[in-house]
Amino acid sequence: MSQRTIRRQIPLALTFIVGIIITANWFIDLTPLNDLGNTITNFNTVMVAFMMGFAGVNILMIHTRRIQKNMSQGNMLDVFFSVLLLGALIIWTAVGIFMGRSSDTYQWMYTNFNLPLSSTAYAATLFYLASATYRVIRARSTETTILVVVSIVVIMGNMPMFVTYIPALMTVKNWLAEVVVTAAYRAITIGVGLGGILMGVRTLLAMETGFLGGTED
Amino acid sequence: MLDLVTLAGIWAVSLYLIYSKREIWIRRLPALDFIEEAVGRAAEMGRPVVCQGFGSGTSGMQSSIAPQIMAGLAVLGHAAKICARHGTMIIASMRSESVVPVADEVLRTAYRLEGKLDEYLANREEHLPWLQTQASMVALILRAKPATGILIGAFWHESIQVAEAFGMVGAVQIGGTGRLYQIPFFAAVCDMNLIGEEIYAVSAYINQTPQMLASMATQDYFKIAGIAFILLGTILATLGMATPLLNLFSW
Repeated sequence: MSQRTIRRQIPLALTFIVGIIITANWFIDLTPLNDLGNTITNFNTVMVAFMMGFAGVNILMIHTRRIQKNMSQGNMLDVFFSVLLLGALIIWTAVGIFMGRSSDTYQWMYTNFNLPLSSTAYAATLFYLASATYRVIRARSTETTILVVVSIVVIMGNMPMFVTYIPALMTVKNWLAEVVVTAAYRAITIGVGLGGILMGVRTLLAMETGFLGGTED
Repeated sequence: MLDLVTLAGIWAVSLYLIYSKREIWIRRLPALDFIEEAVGRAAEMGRPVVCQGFGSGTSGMQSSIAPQIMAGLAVLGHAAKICARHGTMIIASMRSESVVPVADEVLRTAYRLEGKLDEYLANREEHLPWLQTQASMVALILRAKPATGILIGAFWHESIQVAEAFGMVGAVQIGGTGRLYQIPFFAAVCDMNLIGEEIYAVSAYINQTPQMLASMATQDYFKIAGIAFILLGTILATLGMATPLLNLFSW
């Protein structure tokens, strides 16, 4: 079997078959078809688990190499971070596999490590927003000037200090949100929905090959 | 029932346009044209290109954002080919583990097509880090100091952090997402943008085959139909006669 068949034609054929079955399963209430659809969905779950393993190996390879490189260059702080990451990966995996995700140990680790770290990273968004706002406020074109003016109106409309003295700000803010923004969002939603469906059609017809790395012909 | 009819209609119109071989014109997408220039800039500066945005958390190829991920991967393939040609390092990081093997294949194919597969295989781990959190993404950008950042795909609140991190290291940014609430962030921060469904046009725009262009035209025809229904609904609702239309849409 040629490389082209293995790398291109088989994946495209599988994509078509699986796509047609899953689409038909959504619309047609037929027991054998529904069973087949459920089997494929379950198979997908198993495949994702394998992919998780692949990604774990990827991390191990990257950081093993990084530790070696940084050790030779004397970057001990980077070595420490890589060791910490690999240690966390191994401990979390071991606890998850041997004690289960609902075990007290796993939950303790989740509550005391993952949750505060995630919250911190999420909270940091504020500072990035402030920095982004500063960049945007330097109006460079007509579009950005409109964006800046609208932003200022909306910000002021959300602040009682301004709304108390200029009640019209609230009306303008609400009109912007309910008419202008909603209209734009609906237009984008329709476009994104249609685009997604067409992307699916192209994928099933083997025209969309971007996810396989593009066209070889 | 209406969704089935719509889907069947999309298939029918799409296939009709594909096989009728009509000449179809699509407008320019400056953000995609800009990729070549942005990669060239990275090559001149001797700095890498970082491509991000392939799903988030557990949302990957098996979720409703899969079309956006596939659009991101198409851009990755396109950018990787240009990078391979110029000898520029491309780093593709993703949050969803299910995208790692697919991105690997995309990069591998792009380098193979440019006759530089050995170069990719020798540095594969550097090309393909799997990063789970936005903090890791920001750290990667600050460490690698890319000259170009490409953010196409599904993004959540990390969009602004990542885009700002690119701004901090002086990278030019090309952003695009179908996620409504992230579009304004990209519009504000990125140098070039793909808005909403434009990200799905990537493959068609790059390859410009009659079949791809036909599917783009189908999308536009259905958009026109959508606008027509909106106008019709507005008029009927104003006249108090919208019930038949509402019944049609709840069919």
